[in-house]
Amino acid sequence: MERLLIGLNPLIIPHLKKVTSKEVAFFYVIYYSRVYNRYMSEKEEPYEEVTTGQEKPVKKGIVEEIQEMKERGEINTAAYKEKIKQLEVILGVQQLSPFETNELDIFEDNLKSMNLTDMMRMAQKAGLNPQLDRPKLKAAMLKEFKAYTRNNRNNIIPNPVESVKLDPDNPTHASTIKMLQDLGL
Amino acid sequence: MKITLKRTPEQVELVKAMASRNKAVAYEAQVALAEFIGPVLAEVLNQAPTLSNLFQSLQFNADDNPSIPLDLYYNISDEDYVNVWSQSHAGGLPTNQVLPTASELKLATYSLDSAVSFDRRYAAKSRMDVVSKTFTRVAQEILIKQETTSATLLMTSVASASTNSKAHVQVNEVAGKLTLADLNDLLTLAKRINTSWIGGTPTTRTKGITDIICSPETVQDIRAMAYNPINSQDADGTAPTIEGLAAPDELRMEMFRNAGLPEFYGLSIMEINELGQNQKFNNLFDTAAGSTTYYLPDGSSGGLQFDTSDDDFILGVDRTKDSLIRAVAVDSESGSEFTLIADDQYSIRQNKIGYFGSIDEGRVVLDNRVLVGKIIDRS
Repeated sequence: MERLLIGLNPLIIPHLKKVTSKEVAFFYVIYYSRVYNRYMSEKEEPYEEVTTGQEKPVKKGIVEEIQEMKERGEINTAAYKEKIKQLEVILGVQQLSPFETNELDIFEDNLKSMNLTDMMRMAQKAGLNPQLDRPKLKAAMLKEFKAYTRNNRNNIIPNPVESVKLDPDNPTHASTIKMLQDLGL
Repeated sequence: MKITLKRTPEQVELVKAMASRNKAVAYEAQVALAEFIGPVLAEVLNQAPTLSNLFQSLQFNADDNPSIPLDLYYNISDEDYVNVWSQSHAGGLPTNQVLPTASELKLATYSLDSAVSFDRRYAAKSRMDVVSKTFTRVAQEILIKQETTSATLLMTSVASASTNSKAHVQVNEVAGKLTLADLNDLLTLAKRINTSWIGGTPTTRTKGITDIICSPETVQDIRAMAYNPINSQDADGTAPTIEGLAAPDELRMEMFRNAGLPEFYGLSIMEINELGQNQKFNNLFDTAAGSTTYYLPDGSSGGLQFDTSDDDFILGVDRTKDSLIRAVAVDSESGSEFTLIADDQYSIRQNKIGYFGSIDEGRVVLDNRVLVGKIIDRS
């Protein structure tokens, strides 16, 4: 009996210890008949899908990620700021703007990490007088940045503007079109 | 690009005067040089073979609000509403707006500028090379800004473009390279998307596209047609077998003789380093494409999401149409598109001479049917 139990699942051994050798033999017959049927059956059993790890997951673009964060109201998080930084690099804002960003909070962070030489170099690129002491230069750069980006801040992904579509087949719209045409618009 | 100031006695004198100890004389000389160089720089910017110059210039007076009467830019038989792509500021993502063709399109413009300075003593010693290089730097900085804004607009416009249920961007036929079949597909696609408003044959039939903008690797693929097979399928329509079909002798000889191809298959080639795997404009297209899936020319098979590290992009443009517009302000005083002014912020003790140059422009894609694209899967 003990020999028969060798190789079986240890979880079922305590249950089997209470049974007789006849019952064990019956158990083996049932078990092997099931295994035999599974392998010899012509009908295929349903199988679990196995991934090879080679498939590419559906990619989400950085613009979509930023839009989703905006919708969730996560615009004041570090992750959002990081995404905006990444987008600015892709859109070439570093070359387009002498301040290398259009976002005030990113610019303030950059200013904190700059030494005087870096600030003087940036001031020169922005057309500011670089021959100032550090606090005055910093204030001048912040003022100039705000003036430079007054229409661009927080507007890296502007919302698309859709004009009103007038359908000439719709009687109400048709009368509006006629009125606009009469007005010369 | 190189801007050279000739060493004529008048110019040497002018540059020396810029370093005068008399502030009024120095500033007057600096202004005179700016007025003389400004139009030259504008000409240099407009002549450079760049992406920016795919756009047609539309001049307007500085301090004016430029606008375009859309109906004049479309055929009378075209659709009633059009998709117009524009950028509200440099460095922003372009947006599209659906507008009726009967409306007046107001153009948003922005300023692209550059500020440079050099030591006064170079002017005092009449170092024309330093002065020349300073202005070359101004032109380079403006050019790079124009390139970036142009590319952003073009890539965003084409990435999501779709006309008559056909996406403007397709995937290449033979993995890993560009073949003639891909160029052929682009021409067919351009014809299919340029239909009359009832979806039929337009009255003005064009070739489809006139130019392709591509990476050096793509041009390498074209050159390789001189010694590689060109067929994309066998006679029975299956994938090509090991024994491929070579291009006609005449075409291969042309490839051997003209390694620096300016034109191929009737299309002008603009080869730019910013396209290609992981390159700047490739990354831009990747960002604009987002999670969009592109397909083979049949529109349903071979679905692929653009990945800048694996794929290459080719942009096809039809320049026969006035759809890529660049509104540029013209200075009323100088009559030039580029305004160069002497920078007056430096005090006499700083020993600096500075210039500030700017160009006020705005770009729009009036009709994105002039743009098509091909993704070359190089993974």
